[in-house]
Amino acid sequence: MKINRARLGYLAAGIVMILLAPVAFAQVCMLGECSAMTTEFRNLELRPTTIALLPPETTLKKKKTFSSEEMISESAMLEASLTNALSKRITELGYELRIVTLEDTQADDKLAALMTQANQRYNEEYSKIVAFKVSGVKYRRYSVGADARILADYLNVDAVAFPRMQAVGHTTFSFGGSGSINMEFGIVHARTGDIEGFFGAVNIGGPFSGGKSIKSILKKPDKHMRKIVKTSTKKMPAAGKALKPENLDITKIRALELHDPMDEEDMLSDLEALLAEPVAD
Amino acid sequence: MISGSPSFKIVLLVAISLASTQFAFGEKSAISTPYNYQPEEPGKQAFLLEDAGELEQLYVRRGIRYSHPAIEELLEHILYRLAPPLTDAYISYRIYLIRDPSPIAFSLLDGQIYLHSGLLARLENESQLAAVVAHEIHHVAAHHHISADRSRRSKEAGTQSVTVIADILLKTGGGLTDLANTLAFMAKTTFGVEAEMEADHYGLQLMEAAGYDPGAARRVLELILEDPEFVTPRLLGAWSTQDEFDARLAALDQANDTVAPQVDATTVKSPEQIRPITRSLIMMTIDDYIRVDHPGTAVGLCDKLLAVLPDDDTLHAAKGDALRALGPRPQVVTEQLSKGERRRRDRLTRAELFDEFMATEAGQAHYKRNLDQAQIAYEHAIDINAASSRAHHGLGELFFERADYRQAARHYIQYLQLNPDAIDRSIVIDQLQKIRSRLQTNTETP
Repeated sequence: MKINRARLGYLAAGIVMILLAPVAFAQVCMLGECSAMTTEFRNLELRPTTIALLPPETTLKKKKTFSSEEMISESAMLEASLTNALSKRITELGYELRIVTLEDTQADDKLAALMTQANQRYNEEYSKIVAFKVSGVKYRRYSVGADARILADYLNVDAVAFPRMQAVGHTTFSFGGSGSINMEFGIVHARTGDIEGFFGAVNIGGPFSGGKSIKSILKKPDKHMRKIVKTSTKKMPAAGKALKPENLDITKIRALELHDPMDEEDMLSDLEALLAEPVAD
Repeated sequence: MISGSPSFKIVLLVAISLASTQFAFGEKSAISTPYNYQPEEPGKQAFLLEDAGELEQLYVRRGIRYSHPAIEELLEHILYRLAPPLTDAYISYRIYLIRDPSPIAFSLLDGQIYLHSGLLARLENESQLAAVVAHEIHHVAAHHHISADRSRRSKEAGTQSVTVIADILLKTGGGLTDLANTLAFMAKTTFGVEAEMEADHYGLQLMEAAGYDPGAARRVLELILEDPEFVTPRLLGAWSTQDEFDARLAALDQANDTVAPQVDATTVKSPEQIRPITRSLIMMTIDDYIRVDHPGTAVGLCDKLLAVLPDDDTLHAAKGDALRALGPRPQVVTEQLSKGERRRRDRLTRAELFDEFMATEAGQAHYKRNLDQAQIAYEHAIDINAASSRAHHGLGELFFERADYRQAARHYIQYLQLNPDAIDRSIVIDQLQKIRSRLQTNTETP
């Protein structure tokens, strides 16, 4: 049988392409952001001026099991890089920042307890946001409640930011060795206890496309953290800058009852007078 | 090599493991047979020692450990009584608390033992505490961490399934929270049913030798399984299935039959002596259960503690808070939800779930009953102590929910008078401002 050289060439090219497909797939790098804000955050009514940045909660996963040796000390390194990147970026946007460190909580039992409580509640809402619907933030769906308000009061700030990050290295099932970093932070306002703004980013890619293996992330943690923070805050408005309202179905927005702050004594004496009035039939 | 479908293999493996368990703990396994603890070098598992050291530092750095000197003293005393002679230089027994409402205890290769507040709060007496500690001591002394890691390396897929279960339980869609860090390490210290049964069994031996009631171990498993919320799969489901728990309970029953407990009542603290020591931790755990939306468990804990401390006004007020947090839900859930329904509810926020329950007649009835009982609990607290600020705060919230704004305002004001430096002062002031505007616009319930 006569061999058609051209056909053989196509066949060889096909085989090479099939063999290289996983590598090519792993090379693809995706960088995306997801963010959502309530109307009041956009229009400045509930835009904080001062924000407390809590210590990030970071998880590192390696290969197909949870990482072991690297995870503990390296997650601490990533947390420090993330805090630096976030604080720099949020300050650049004009917000006054109070960085809460783990050392602060070690020195203050009350702060440690309040932070644990606020984190417990935030994590419940956070898991719903990232797993199901970031856009629900626009409709004021997610509330951390009194625990976050108390923490903000204690720290004397307008809002508290709760950063979370997961970095995943190669996994057996990831077909070619891609990994990802996803980082999000929610901003909870002291007046409402609601998540008024949520900003996040995901960086997916293979070991040859910007380094999503744990090793490469840890080699240049500052660079990776700067990149993910920059992407996540793409839509975060500068302090004092109002954004245009979004088209939302107002029937789906959870009601908000805000009052103009008034003098506490005046308010209480008003209230006493009202209480002294006879009850209407 | 076993051939056949995966489910067949699982059934076969379970059968083999149960058979081997029967062999190990059957007729020949009288509790008096001593366990001969031997030294063992970690070898290739030496990294587990590094892990344990780093984990210890992590827990300190992140403030995960919970400090409570009185309970720590009690736990150290129990540990001292139970611990067998050391066989290895790398083991040094120490015991710590973690503030976490999930009812779990775990140990690490180097002798670190951790108890979650959610487990400690459920225990009723010193012997039950000793049962938990003895169980963990046996895991360490018998080098279960080393053997579990060796076995895990030969079947890597097992760890993957633990990872997946942890993901599902945390409902994070693959992303893991800080709690998962804890879970991850606990996953590493999951030994399988045979090792758990061995630790149960020889834990009894350690308890017996130290003068504790070995019968307490069975009660501990029962307490862990209590679940008023009927949350399925429970957090502990990641480590043990119901069948495994049943097998452990049966083995404990068998072992207890061979024991004639010789409890030294003069040196073992009774529930009446233990509860005052653990009271503040239990109060904190009750609040944590309310916070993580397990108010049914919180009500149960309040009732247990009230049986010992009936005149504790703060406890009555806490029960009021837990009942109020139940809202339109029943106090004990007896119906298991389908997988689909669970998944649907997982998507809803607490406010959306509240609205959904309130849309049903049963929900409205539960709501009324829970609020009525909460009011009784708050009023009981005030009867005991008129200056109970927590009860006044609770009544303020309760009447606000019922749109009885005058009553709400009175209790809120009383709360602030009793507690002028209240940490939530600004929130209460905010509520009062809402009440003021509602009274001005006459939107109260007559």
